[in-house]
Amino acid sequence: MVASAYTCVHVIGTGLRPKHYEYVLSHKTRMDFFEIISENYMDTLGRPRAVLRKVREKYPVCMHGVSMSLGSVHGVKKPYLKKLRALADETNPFLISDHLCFTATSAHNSHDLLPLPFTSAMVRIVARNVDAAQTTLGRQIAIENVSSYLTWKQNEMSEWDFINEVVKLSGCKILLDINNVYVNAKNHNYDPLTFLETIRAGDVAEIHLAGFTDMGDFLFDTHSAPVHRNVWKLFKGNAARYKGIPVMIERDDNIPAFPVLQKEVLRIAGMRT
Amino acid sequence: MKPRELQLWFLADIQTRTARLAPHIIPGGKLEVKQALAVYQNGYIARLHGALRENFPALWYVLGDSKFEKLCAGYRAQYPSTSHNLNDYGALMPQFLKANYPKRVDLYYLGLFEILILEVFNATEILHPPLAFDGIDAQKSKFSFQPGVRLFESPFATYTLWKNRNKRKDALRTKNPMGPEFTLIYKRNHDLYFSALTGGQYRILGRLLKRQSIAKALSGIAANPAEVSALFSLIATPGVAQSVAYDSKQLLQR
Repeated sequence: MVASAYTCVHVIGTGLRPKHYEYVLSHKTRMDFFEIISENYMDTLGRPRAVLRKVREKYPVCMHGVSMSLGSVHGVKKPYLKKLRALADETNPFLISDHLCFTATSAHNSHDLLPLPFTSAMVRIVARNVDAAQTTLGRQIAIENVSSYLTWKQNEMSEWDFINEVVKLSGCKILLDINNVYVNAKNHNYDPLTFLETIRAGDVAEIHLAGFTDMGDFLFDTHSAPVHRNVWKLFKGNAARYKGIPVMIERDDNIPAFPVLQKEVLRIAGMRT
Repeated sequence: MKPRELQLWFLADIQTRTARLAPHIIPGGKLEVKQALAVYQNGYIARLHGALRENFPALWYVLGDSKFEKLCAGYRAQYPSTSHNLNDYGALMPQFLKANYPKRVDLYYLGLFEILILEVFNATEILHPPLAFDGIDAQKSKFSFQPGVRLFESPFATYTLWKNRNKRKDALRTKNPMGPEFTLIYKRNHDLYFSALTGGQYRILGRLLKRQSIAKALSGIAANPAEVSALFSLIATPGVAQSVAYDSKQLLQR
């Protein structure tokens, strides 16, 4: 597991983004780990891969994907898993994760995290796909709760019960995105604390914090702003339960200079419990 | 509704901006059903068009925002994304340009060129000792090149156009310089390099890339000694050839 570089109850990190390559390679940062978007590295042998190798010499890395399509009725694509496995073999990440959603059919790709119906049939489909992924990757993976802007009338259970059912059936871990919990709580009108309290901390392998955009009619998970105060509040209120779990801040748009982002990430470390 | 049906319809609604799934949806926030679907529909378009802007920056600059958006919409309708890898999106752009812009053959070549740039960007670089040519047997020796080496021939000044892609758009549109151009693309330490070649140098290098011996590559091509000498200096530049060998078993690396 990741070792914290200084005295804090949380292991902290952020996403490795091209804008920060030069800074991260030439400075000693205060990150305990970096998270990569797997797809940005698995399809290239060029500069991103070379940078990753250098970063990996200095930091633990976890791999976070956006295209495994774990909820797809068509199954997880084998060529994708093979490429991911090759990257994992080279990178030796402390965790591989992807989203609890579907992104593609057998023919087409949406390049989005599309919400699943929360039904027992879907639990079985996801569990089958997680099993295929874990078998090919040779390790346990973590699944992340996604933000959504619609839900399905056919839902048979809550999102948190759906996640717990998938974990129970597949034996995977959870990547708990507290920003997504908050966004969905507002968009779909539930209490985010109910969600967080129902997820067992022992099942959580990593935590994401991020910023959303208030579109007026709904909250949009854009990763383009600092973590919202209400998301910090949710994290802080539950921080004691998450002791020792790696926590990171995602930023994918309006990305600030690394020292600015680092300052925000260090807020995690400053949260005594 | 069965999961398979739901997923196929959802993706179809996203791609075609329809709302067949509307009766099955509870919209989030204060959105109407169609607005909730539009969040995903707009995201799909934004991602695919964004990928095309990133993969074809010179085409974008040459056409300008409005025409490039129209190009993206046409390409997206004909070629929905089939891969998880957005770096691949637009792989059929040259064919699309050829079919849909028959009077703008220069765009076809620009599309081809930008795809080569992507290939070079994503290629690996193999570390090797510096090359030296003294003592090699031209009859038998063959070069082995770095995986990122590409040759490009165009009847237009395609590389010149690409190189100037960040200049004023109206300047680009009015000039449209003619070629032909012969260009070598390679990379070193992850930076891309471009070298203008003569027609003779292009043909010799093309043969060498096909693993012909030095003597065979040179035979029958009208190139003066200065051109040949300059070409071999270029081949010895780090990032181009990685080794020169008598045969597949014996490597000469100095």
